[in-house]
Formats: sequence, C-alpha cells, structure tokens
Amino acid sequence: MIRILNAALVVAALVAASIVYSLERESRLAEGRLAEINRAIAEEREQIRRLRAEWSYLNTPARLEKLAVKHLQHVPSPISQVIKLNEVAAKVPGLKLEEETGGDDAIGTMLDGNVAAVEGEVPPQPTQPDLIGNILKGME
Amino acid sequence: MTDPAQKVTFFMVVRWLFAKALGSTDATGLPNFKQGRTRGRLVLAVFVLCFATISGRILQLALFDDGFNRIHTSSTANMRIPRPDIVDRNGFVLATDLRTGSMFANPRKVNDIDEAIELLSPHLPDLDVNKLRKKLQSDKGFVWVEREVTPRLQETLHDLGIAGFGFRNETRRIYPMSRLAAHVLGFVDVDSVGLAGIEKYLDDRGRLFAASLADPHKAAAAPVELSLDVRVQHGLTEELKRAVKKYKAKGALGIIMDATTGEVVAASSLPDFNPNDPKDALKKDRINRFSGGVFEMGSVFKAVTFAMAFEQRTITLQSRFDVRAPLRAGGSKIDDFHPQRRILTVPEVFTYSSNIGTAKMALGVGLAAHQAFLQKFGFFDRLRTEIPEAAAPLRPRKWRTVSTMTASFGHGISVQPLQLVSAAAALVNGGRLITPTFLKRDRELVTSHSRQVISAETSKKMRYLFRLNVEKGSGRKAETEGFSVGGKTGTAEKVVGGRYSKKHRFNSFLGAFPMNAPRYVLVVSIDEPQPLPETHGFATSGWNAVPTAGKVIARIAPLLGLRPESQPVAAESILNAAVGG
Repeated sequence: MIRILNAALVVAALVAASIVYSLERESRLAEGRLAEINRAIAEEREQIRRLRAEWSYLNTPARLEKLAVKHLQHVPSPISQVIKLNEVAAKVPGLKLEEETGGDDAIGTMLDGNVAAVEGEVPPQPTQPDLIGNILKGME
Repeated sequence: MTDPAQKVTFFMVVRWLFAKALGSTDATGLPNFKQGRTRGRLVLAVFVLCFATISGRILQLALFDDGFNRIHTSSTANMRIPRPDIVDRNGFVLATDLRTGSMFANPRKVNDIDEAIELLSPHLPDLDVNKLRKKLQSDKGFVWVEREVTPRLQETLHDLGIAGFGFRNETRRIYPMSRLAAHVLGFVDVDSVGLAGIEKYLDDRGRLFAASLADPHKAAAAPVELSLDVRVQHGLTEELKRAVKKYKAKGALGIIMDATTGEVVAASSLPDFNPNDPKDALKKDRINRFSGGVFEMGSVFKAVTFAMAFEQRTITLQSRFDVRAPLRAGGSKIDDFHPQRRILTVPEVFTYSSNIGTAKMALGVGLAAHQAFLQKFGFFDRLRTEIPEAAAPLRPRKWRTVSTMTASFGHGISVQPLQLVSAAAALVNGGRLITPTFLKRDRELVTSHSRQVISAETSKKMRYLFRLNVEKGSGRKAETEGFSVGGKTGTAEKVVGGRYSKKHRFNSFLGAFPMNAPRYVLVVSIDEPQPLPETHGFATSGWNAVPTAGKVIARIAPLLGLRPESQPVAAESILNAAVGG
C-alpha cells in the first residue's frame, strides 16, 4: 500500500515539476519576446524620429527657396493677385464661373487622372542621400 | 588507496554498479551479457535521440531566424538623459535627439588590416588611411575608427562584416534646420546639457522634467512647441542678411510678435551660428541681440514718451511745441536732426522726430511721473522670458532733468529690443502690456500674462501717429502694398570711446501692421549700417532699417494669413474709428 502511495506521489511530483518547468519556460519565452518587441518599438521610434528630422531638414525654408529658384519659373505672387472670391468675376474678364453640377466631379476627375499616372511606369527612385550626414556636416 | 585489498573491493563495486545500470545481474553478481546487449542498444538509442535533438535545434537556429535570439550588433554606451524634441508652431522639428553610432575596432581581432581599410575607405571619404593603419597595427584592445556615424552609414558599414569592428551607440542633439532660429533654440554641450536658449530653459526647469517630456512611455511626453513659425523666421532672417550685406553692417536684429498674445513668431539676430556645431556661438559678435543685449534704441523710444503725455493728459493731438531753439541741460545741447525751427503740432513732432519737442513733452509730465511711467512699462527691470539670455536695462544712476530729456528720445536708457517690442504691442493693441513668450501660448491665458498700462483712447492716438508717420513721415519706405504699416524710425548714435559718434549708428524701425487692427508688431534694427551711393550718402534709419522692415512685412504678412486690404488705411480714419480693443 505504502509502495503504491509512494509511487503515486513520485509520479505526481514528476508531473508537477514538469508543469512548473514548462510554465516557467513559457513565461521566460514570453518575457524574451516582450523585450524583443519593446526593442523593436524603440527601434521604430528611433526610425520615426530620424525620418521626422530628415523631413524637417528637407523642409528647411532656405533649401526650399533655393530649389524653387533653381527649378521653377514661379515668382512670389504680388499682393494685387490676392483677391476676394466675390471680386473674381470683376478682376478676371472672360472667366466664366459655372455653377457646380453634381455630374462634374472635379476632384474625382483629378483623382482619376492621378490613378492613371500611378498605374503608368514608375520612374526609378534615385538613391536617397544621407540627409542626417548633411545636417551634421552643416550643409545648408 | 594503498591497500591492494581495498583496490580490489573498489573495482568490484564499480563493476557491480555498471552491471546494475545496464541490466540485471545473475546470481554471481556479474552482468547478464545477453540481456546487457539489448540494454546497450537502448542506451545507444537514447544518446542518438539526444544528439539528434541538439543538431535539429542547431539547424533550426541556423535556418529559421525567429527574431528571438538575435544578437545585437552594437552596445549602447554613454546613454545621456534624453531631451524632448523642439518644434515650431506648425510642428516642424527644430531640434531632436538622434542615435548615432561610433565605429571602433579591436586591433587584436582584426585579421587583415589592408583588406579592412580597403573595404572601409570608399564609405568614409574623410578617413585618414595612414592614421587608421597605424592605429590598427597598435597593440591596443580598443581604438576609435570614426565618431558619430549616421544610422544609414552604420548599416552599410555593419553589412561589410569585417571582423574586429563594432559600433557604440550615442545620442546626439540634431538641429535639422541648422542656423534657423539658432538664438532662440540655443545649443547643448557634448553631454547634452543645454547651454543657451530654449535648450537651457529646459534644463533649468529640471533635467528630469525635460527627460519626462522625451520619454514616450510617460503621459507628459510631448515636444516643446515654440511660438516661432519657421517660414516667418526664415523670411525675417533672409531680409536681415541681405540688409547686413547691402549696408555693410556689423549685425542686425529683428523681432516679430503677435500683439494680441505676446507670442514671438520670429526673432533673429545676426551674425548667427550653427547649433549643430556651436563653436562660433560664444564669439562676442554672436550674442543674442534681441534679448541678450541692451541698446539705446533712439527715436523709436519717443513713442513711449508720446503715450505717456497723452495718458497724463499734458498734451492733446492739437498741442504745439516750440522747437526753434536747441535745449540746454547741464553741459549738453539737445537739437533736432532735421531742424524745423518753428512751432510744431504734436503729430509733426512725431513725424519730424523732433528731439526738442519730445524732451519738452517729457519735462511737461515731470521727472517723477516719467520714471513711474517707464517703471510701469517694465523698462527699469530685466525682462524675463523663457530664453535665459536676458540683459538688464541700463539707466542713469541718479535721475536728473537731463535724464528725462534724453530718455524721452531713447538715449541714456538702454533696454532689450524685445522689451521695446512688447511695449509697442501695448501702445497699439488697446493698452495691454503682454509678457512676450517664445512658447506657444493659449489665447485664453493671455489675460493672466498681461496688464492694462495705458487707456484704449491713448492707444488709438498712438495707432494714428504710427500710421501717419508711415503715410507722410520718416517711415514712408516701410509702406507695403496690401498691408497698412505704422511705425516709428530711430537713428541712435552709438557711444564710442565715451562719447556719441556720428559715424556709428544703431538704426531701428518699430512698427505694427495691419494698422486698422494691429495684429503684429515688429522691430528691425541694423547695427552700424554704412552710407551707400544709392542712399545718397545717408545712413539714417529711413534709408536702411525702414526699407528692410518694409521688405520683411511684404514677405511675411501673406504667410501670417493676413488678408490684403483693398485700400490702404488712412491715418485719419483710425482716429475717427470708435474706440475698441
């Protein structure tokens, strides 16, 4: 009797030990995964920060101004061109303001046009310069 | 175990144990070999299983990267306390912490120095090959190869896979727009400690506070939002740069402030510096001129005197002043720059910028009242904003009659230009003196940062005078199409070697726009502009500071979202309008 009881207890102890072991292992794996995910989040945050810094650098007004002068024929619009909506008809002769109709979806047309452009050949993307490197070198 | 009998017993026991482990023993106590063979196979199978499991796991690790057991390629050294991002009022990043790696090598582990250098050098154009070779040939365990490598370059270099090389991560403060608004932002030292500007302000509020803003896990995490608008800041700086170049000036400053909230939308001081590489920042000519220096602002200060006289009711717009003879006080003579030698009305004293008339006006108010009024505007105290560079005003140690006379036209008293701008805002916005700020301010909180210093009626008269001066007086060149500007000019002579010099000037334009309901005030000052042939040999404010201010306004007013006026606002119409806010 005692033998059977002992055997049962030994078996029970073994089973319990293996359950505890597997639980602990599971939790350790989960901890590891958590650490990994946290690390990945930190990495993503760092990437976002880097991209925001690059975006900001690309938006530096001095840089945009230089590019605009180089690549566009535009000039700053004179104040006289800024007019109120109700003055448009008077100031721009020959311009016909049409009532907006339901059928003529201007934005839709524009979007369609863009879709066509997107579906076309995608021009090869130039390799991006190392912008943070530019900032560090003080290039303006 | 020297006793042979003991030895024999020991071996017997071991043998017995083996036999016990491999199988049952027969009656002699020796292993049953037939049964033992089967057990031996069993043991073999167990071992095979074990080894198969281990090799399987090794294969799994080698073939399938589950991302769990990744080894990280760089250690993080020198983790500095993080700093929050600084953004402009529209969210453009002006300062951020970025991770950069520094490449090091362990010379003892580098197998082939020539190959390593050959692989590295195309990616590091600034690399001194000979120096690196010497370093790698040394007996040290650690040498720096390249400091502060950008994340992208770090990736490239890492992928070269050269043995013995590695990275250490460091955070570095980056200012993506480099020089833009450098004096407002300030800069940090190598340990990321703020040394000037908003950066120092953050540290002064507590490093842990600053770090909590930067920690994405904290509820307080948020970038520091400045009141600046980078587009306006650029427009202002660019025009000032052109002016400095054109008039061969020593420097320039400009401030644009929202007259209704006290938010500084642009503040520029030239020459400036690059906060990414702030070695120039501590040079003497790079000081922050808009708040870190005080200046005798000259005639632009007259506006304050006029407001005082209106407020004390010692003059009306119809009062007259005799400016035929220069004034004498103590040992000095006060005369006008453009002597009219007749009796001037109050608006004429303003537009001709008569020193005699203004001095008489101040004397009419009296010394005590004059001091009290300047005190009320804060001209006797150091103006404190977020920016730690705040110079204390200079005033005569003992206030005499001559002090009142000179202070009435902006001499003998030196103030921060920022102080004058906030005073100008009060003069035109209906009389509320608002403490300027470089941080975005909630419109609802303005009342708690402001106080009424003059009446709305006086403010209206000041708006009239400012507008009149641009319409007909010395500020004509600041007139801008579409936006009615008002303002006062000032040509201050600088003190050189203890006396006022006719050749060294500090020229300013203090103004506001649009004049029907002023929303922005600005000051533009040019330090020591030179006369040019095209300015007919003149170097007074009307020839340099005023047209510069005009260009600034024309450039930035549309950016600020102001709608152009169809008709310029006539000065008289301001006077006839009902008194509002």
